[in-house]
Amino acid sequence: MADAVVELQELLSLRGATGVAGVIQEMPLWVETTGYTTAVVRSEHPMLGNATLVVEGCDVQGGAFTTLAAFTQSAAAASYLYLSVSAPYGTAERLPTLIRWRIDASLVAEWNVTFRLMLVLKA
Amino acid sequence: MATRVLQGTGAGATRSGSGFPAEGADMIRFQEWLEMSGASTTGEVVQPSRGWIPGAEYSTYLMKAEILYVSNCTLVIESSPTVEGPWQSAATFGVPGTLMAVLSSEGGLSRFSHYIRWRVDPAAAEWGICFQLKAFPSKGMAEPNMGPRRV
Repeated sequence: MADAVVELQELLSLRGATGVAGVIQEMPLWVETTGYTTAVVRSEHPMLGNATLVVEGCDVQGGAFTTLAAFTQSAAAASYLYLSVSAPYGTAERLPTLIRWRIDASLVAEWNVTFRLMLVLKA
Repeated sequence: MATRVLQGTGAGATRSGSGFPAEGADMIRFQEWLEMSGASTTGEVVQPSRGWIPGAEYSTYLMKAEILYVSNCTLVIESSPTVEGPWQSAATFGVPGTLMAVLSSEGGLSRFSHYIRWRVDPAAAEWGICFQLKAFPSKGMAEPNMGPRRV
């Protein structure tokens, strides 16, 4: 299997009203990592206002997702998340079968986000 | 939407869509997530014609609007028998949430004639909206049998 670079999410801007709790990436767009051993998630998030960008994973369709990384507003041009199927790793660093993003927004204020996510997969 | 592999074959890096019923052949991604805002002097914003639905093939559309934000504007689903118009409103959405409307070619307030598109209708103030739209077409709706029936 060849290495691959996948856009987990193209550049996207979202804005939410007060009381809107956020949004989850739609199921057909989640990325399945079967056959790969390591992955790097590159997050560019020039705006995360009153919201957190969460990258999360799950091993079984229909199973519970666990947080792999939670990005908040920062001055960094990009943030990276390293994932691997091989030990040693902590809970947050294990490469899951399915990867998706979620916006966890404040319920008490308007929020707006602009971000893109790249996924580099190595066999 | 297919997986967009930028480098390598990415044979194993598949989108997970094949196993889920949510995005089947009978779902039209009418509008991907879109965030817009405008000044108080801005006029209406109409969906580009390449995204319009030529709706004549089906008799009913379930329109699902997911609206994260809306301020000083409304999202209008409208229809016309020709590309040139006249365009008539078939459904209007003006509050955040997941909202549904059934458009029928057979009449009623949410009637559609042929082409279907969306339009953002701003008020005379700064406005903003963030939404996505999906359309679920159907050949027809089963009518409830209200009369006597054989047993």
